[in-house]
Amino acid sequence: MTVVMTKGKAILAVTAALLVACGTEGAEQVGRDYLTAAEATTQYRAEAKKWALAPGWTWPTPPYPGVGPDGSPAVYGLDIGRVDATLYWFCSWGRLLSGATSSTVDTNSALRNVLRVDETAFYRVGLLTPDRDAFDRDVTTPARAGDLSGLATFVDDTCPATGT
Amino acid sequence: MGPSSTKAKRWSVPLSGLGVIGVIMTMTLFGAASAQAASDHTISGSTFSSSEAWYYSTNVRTKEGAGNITARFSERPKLGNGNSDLLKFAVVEVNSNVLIPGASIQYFDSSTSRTLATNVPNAKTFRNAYARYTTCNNCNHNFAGVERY
Repeated sequence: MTVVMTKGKAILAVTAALLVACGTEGAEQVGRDYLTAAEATTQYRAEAKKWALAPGWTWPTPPYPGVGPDGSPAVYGLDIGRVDATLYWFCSWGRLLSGATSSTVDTNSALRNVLRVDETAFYRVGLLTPDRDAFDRDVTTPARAGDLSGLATFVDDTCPATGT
Repeated sequence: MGPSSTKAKRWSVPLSGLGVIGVIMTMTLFGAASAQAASDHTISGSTFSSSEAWYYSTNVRTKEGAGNITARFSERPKLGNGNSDLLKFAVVEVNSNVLIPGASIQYFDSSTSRTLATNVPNAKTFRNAYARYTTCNNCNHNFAGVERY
């Protein structure tokens, strides 16, 4: 058993050494590393436990099948699970707030959550500086002033229609 | 020189003032348009190791203005003989990691610009996914270029 584990570790070490991976493609470089599909899934679920979705929303299956758009194997960037989970969380509150037409919706609570987006990995890690500036300009700054049109556009273009 | 003195000078000399007005109007129009217009973004990185596996970026990008997303690469992963390999590149949904509507996988074999997605709405978010085409051990996996969105 000991021998098998040692071999396994050796194989993993060699594999890891061979699989020198990947930088992000923005202006910054976050290092040469990656997550497997299983690791990204685990990270997503761990992050999801930290955020309460809007009423009526449930967490989806993390979107990491481990294959690319042509069916070839795929790996994922560091923090992708954290980024995606918090974007989904933002979507839930953004969708609720931008579509709020009923007095049963606590718009103040929804707005408070929407404006917490700057605490999220989606905002802090996922958005590069120019995209973050555009997000502030188009979504959060107008929302803070009572204009939800940018938020509505964002959720319509980016978020699932429903969270169930 | 503050804004008020600039304004006073602008109106005090008719001919040169017209030029100033023109510059100011141009700047104003440019500024207004740039808030909702596509622009070039420098991108660089490395494909996943020696294999042709895809790498999904963590970065979330936002389309500015409706239209196409394009890219061109001055540097692409290398083959063992030093020639450039094909670079596979795609733009995918953030929430599902599937191709965004209007997108297709593009194979970059030169520095020519190619369209990654068409008719993308303003404010649409997406992320990049990329891979080298050919397995190549001990090769350069780097790429660099410009993505317009």
